[in-house]
Amino acid sequence: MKNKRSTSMMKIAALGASVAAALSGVAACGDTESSDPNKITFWFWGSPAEVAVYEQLIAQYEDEHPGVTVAPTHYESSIYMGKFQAERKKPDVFFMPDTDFAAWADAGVMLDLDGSVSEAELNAVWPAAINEYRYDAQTKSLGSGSLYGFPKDLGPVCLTYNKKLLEKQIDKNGLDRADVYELLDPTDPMTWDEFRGLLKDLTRGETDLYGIPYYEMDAALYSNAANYFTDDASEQRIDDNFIDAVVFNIQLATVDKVMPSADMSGATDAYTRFFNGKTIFTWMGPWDNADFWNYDIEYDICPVPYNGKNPDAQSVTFAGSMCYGVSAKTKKRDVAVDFAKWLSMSESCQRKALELGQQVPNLMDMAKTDFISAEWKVQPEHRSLFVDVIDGNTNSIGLYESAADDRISSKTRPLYYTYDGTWKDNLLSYLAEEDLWRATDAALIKTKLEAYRNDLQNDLDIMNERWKG
Amino acid sequence: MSPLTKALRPKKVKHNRTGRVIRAIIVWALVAAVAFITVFPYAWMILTSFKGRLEAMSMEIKLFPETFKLDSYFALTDQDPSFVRAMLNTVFLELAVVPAGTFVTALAAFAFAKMRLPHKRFWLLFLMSGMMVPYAALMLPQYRAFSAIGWVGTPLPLIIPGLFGNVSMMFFFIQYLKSVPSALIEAGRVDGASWFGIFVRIMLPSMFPAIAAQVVFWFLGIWNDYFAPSLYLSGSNWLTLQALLAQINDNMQRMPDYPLVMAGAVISSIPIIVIYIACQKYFVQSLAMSGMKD
Amino acid sequence: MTATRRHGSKKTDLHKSERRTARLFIALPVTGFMIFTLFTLVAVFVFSMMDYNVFREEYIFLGFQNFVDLFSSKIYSVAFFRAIGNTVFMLLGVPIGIAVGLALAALLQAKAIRRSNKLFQVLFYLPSVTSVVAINLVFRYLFNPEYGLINGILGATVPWYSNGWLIKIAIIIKNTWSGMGGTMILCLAGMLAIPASYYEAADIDGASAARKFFKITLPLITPTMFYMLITGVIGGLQSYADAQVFAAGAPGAQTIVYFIWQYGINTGKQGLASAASLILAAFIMLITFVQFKISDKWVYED
Repeated sequence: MKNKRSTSMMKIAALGASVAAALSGVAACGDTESSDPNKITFWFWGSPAEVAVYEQLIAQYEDEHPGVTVAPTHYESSIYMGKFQAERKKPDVFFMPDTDFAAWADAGVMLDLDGSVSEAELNAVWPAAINEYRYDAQTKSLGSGSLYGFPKDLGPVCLTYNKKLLEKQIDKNGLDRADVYELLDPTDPMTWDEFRGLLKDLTRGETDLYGIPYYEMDAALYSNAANYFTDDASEQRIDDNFIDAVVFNIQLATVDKVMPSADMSGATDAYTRFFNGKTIFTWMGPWDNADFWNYDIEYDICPVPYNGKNPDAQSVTFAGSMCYGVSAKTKKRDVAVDFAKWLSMSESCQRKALELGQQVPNLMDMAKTDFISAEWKVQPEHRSLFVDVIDGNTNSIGLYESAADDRISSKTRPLYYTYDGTWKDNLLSYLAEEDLWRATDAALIKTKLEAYRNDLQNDLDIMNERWKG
Repeated sequence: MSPLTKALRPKKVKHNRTGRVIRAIIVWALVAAVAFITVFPYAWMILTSFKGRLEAMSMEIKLFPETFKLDSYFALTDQDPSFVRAMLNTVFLELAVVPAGTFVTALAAFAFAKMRLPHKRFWLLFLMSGMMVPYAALMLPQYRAFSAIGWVGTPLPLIIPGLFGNVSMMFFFIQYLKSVPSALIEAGRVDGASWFGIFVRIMLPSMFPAIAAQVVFWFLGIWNDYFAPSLYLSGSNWLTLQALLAQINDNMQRMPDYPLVMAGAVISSIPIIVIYIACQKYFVQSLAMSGMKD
Repeated sequence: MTATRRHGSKKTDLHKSERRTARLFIALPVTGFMIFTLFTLVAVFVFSMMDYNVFREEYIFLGFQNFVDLFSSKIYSVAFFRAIGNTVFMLLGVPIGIAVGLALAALLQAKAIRRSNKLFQVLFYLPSVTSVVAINLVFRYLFNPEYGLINGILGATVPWYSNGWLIKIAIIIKNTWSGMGGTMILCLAGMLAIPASYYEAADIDGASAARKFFKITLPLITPTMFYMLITGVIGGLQSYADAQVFAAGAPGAQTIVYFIWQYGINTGKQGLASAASLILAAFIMLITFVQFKISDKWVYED
């Protein structure tokens, strides 16, 4: 009886399997896998506007390179890395964010591009952007070694302000416009104390108007010569500079009250607050320009403030970035490399991005001239600051030491330096659970942060064990 | 009129008129309050869909739009894939899965409920344990397997598993079939009908109300699902309605476009409301017949 | 559950063919289960024994280390226990949802609204047809601490999103709203299945409406409630979207499935995520088993 059961089961199973096989054959026909040596696949993400831009760029590339076909696929940003991870056959060319770069370069998934690019080509691009995508697989270190990605962009995040609202508050509070604009000088950053004082003056007596919707922790740390860890991510660095920066950040809400409390800030995103005129300042990267034009708002930018009491501190913001990677297993190496390089470094492609207000061009000359003079729908007067910040960023690795001669610069996000983000999830959960965002007392914050040193070190050790063995 | 409402009507008028009026007022107040709670967010969704983008982000509560704008509804056609395509995709998915999957499920339920089957209890528990394994646990290996055979980016991962039946639906049918007299089957056997013939000609028609109800439930489940469709279909032209809405929402994270998402949600809810109203009768009756009694 | 059996019948041959046909009829679901659930589960089990580095596609055999780590290694256990605590607390929404559905169904039986009954059924069901994406957006707006309508009505700035307990309560309220239509329909069906004669008998005794509800309706629909409890708990333990979309990953709302996703996808620790998945599956089976056992005490049987 058992045999009979299994035979009838087997028959059905076999039937099911053959149907499945037939269907998979059907599916494979529509697959992007192509034997055409000039047809490459390209993965990216973006808003509908950005998707439209890439469609135009691809058409332009195909025009310039007859015979070549690029098959683009775009995913939501939230599932992009998951898709990339699960995909056995990686696309020929793909977006790779800085935060995930180390792990994928280390795994040998990304093609070594060193031989595919000339010295002259590299010299035309921001050195910081190029160095960011170098990785030494032997020593497991970032910033040197072979090139594994062509930079898509380098996006320093600056402070931006609503000009009309700012001036309204200046007049309302009897301040002097010239004094305020002197503080916002794009070449002379404010100190933390100046910034705090300014926001207090501007929002005096207001109940639901804030100076800034939240403060970027990375900008606070970097502008106090602090970081979570050493640049090789081996040792935690919860030192006094680190603690001062966190205290500054927390107390903007709890003591100075120029920032919404932890209870209020989470639910309303910064841009909603900004466009509703409920905050004077917020954060913006170069990619935000195009979006800002959709709203009827006059805006300008200024450098991030630094801790004036710390002689080592400079105005250092954090920069977001991405690169175009090429699959190490691509069978269409030449076409794929050429396309990725074209997106990253070609004059025509960079000019397009510039006109659309999406990024500071990767090409230094274009950034220093055309970016600053381009006709935009809304013209932020000090947009050259974006370029200055990148210009000060001679080497994105170990920046504080090398940037001593430049007062305004940027540094790559902390997640760039690590293999995975567990350390950050755990740290943020700790801050939330210890209720540090509601703390007013600096000594208490200090004690709690010092108590976390071992945990952070432990997280880093486990991560490095997986990474560096 | 249902038997219960009939039953609840007192035989003799025991209460005086004022008592009845007060009672009616209380009931109406309660019902109106609940209706307000259920309708309000839905109404908000509709009203938001007519607002401008900045207006919808407003930090002051304004229920009605300044002017009723249809822009978001037009913008739906500019999506990639377009909203119409996504709706057709969803309908295709429903048609590919629900009829065949329901047939397979009903056939198995018939075997479980009305036929001699060795180790019946074991097989039933075996299948039901599948309901208890969280999808998240299976998602990653399943994704890799589907990816390996080239199904990702096609609707096959969402269709093929459904064709093997739906266990919770089967459980429901088995409970229901208990109330269908076995004498019908005996009669069919005496006439020399095959088991399949009995199923198709006798059982299927008598299960119709249960099938109607469950089909609507399953239909609704597929219609409103966005997690698996996002995972398997994003980046392709096969994207479903809800996955498209999730994608629009995700793309707008920095600069939300609430009216666009709401316009999509309003349109996508209309077919389900129509189907619900059309099937309301079967729904409640068939659920009642199965009795859900263990 | 078992069909009528006849022993020693002459129709043994017929029975044999009947058994064979029956096996054929259930073959498809069984095969589907084996392919899509069982095989995959085996893969999950294998993964759970490994440190699978998704970047390098390397496997290191760890034995049960992942399970030990989940419960004892501080780096994971804090998040894991938090996820379990959150998930279990939010299960409170299941009985609340059933109670609300029951109340609505009872309300719809009232004589006063007899003529509008169908209309209200549709209105009460509206939440069930609303897109999940839209529900999350609308409720994020309603619960906004600064300008949300709910705080407006309460006349206080309740910090719904930043407080670990309040965010869970907000999610329970949201889910009660979106689930009440479904539970209402099921309760309604359960009520309509009760023979009218029971109520007629009660009427003769002069029982009040409330008494009839508690003495007749409630006991007789316990099987329906049991069904809703089982499916509700199974569904609740697998909750993910609320943590991700509604709470935007706030620690107070992170669920077990969120933990699995976070580690399996975002940090590439699939072995650990697989171990957590298996623990969750075992947990669900245990709870379902216990529910079935306890059900003898309160579920009405014919």
